[in-house]
Amino acid sequence: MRDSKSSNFSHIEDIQIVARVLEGNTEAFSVLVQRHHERVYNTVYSFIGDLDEADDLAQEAFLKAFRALKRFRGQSLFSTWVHRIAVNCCLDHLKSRHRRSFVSLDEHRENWDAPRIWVGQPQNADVRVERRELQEILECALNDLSEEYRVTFVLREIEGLAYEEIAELLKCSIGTEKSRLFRGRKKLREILQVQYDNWIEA
Amino acid sequence: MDADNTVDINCELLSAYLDDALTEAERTRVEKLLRVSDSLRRELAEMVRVRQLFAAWSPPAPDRFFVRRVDIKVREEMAQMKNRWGFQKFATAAMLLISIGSLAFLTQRLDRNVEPVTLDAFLQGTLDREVREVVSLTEDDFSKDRVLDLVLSDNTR
Repeated sequence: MRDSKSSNFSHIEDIQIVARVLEGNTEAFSVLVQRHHERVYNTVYSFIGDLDEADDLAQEAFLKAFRALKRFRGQSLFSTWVHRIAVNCCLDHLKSRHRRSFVSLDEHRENWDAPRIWVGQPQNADVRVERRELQEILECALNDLSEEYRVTFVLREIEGLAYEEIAELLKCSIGTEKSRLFRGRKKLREILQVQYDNWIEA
Repeated sequence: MDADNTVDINCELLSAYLDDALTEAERTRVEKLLRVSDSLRRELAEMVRVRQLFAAWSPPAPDRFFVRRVDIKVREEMAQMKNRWGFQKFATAAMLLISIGSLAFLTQRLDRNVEPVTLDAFLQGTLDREVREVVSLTEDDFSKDRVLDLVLSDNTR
């Protein structure tokens, strides 16, 4: 069903699909979701660091996009627009949550036992497992950043936004943002180094 | 300015240098510092490593039912919108009917108010029930003139 729906729209630009949704073909919206959900979800997860919350927030982002579709003028790509909505959802969520009880550093240390073994014995580990462990290491490090550093870092390093865009989104000066970014990077390095000794240099 | 602050400020510039977000003058300054400072070069190398690590990081993918869940929510949203729209239509129609009814009633009252109430009209039974009730309650106790006064004063309220 979805495949046939998607294939019906496969050669149609997002903006044309938006027009169809606005004409009343609301089913067409799922094609947009299908096309963009992975990136939206990834972005949300980068900010939030929790699967369930990320799922809820990514859904909320799409719902908000659906409600606001009339206001989409096509001045930017739909992907950029929906992505911006997702980022704003995350920022609002983080504001309201006020730094939720992310897994504490001590808990992380327990989880990081496996990666430490891997660091010492990489030749014995399966490549896929290694990769998954690396993902976990980075995720844990990211989760240990304070919220303001994490948000700035994610917007810059993961989302690749320009300084001006980040400053606008976070409503702060570029100077503040530069400072946060530097401190976030420094902190990340410290976290990674503390946990894995010479891992960064290896 | 102490040495630590100098290092921090230089590193802050270094971080922006990594992002290619410096002015020409700042960039020249950083490159000059990099040529003479081992620690800054090391710092830059570590920042680059962190960046490379996170470039390889991919957040987990949503599960395969994600799109379906959004679909369901969108449908629910549509149903709510329709309900809201239906209620709004009903409320608007009701308001319109009430307004028209009130207007008609007021117009009628207004017409009646400007119409002179005469004793003949009263006797011919052209006055409305409200007036008749007043009259029936009072006709035993008051004279016709008094009743007429009451009727007139009621109509001019």
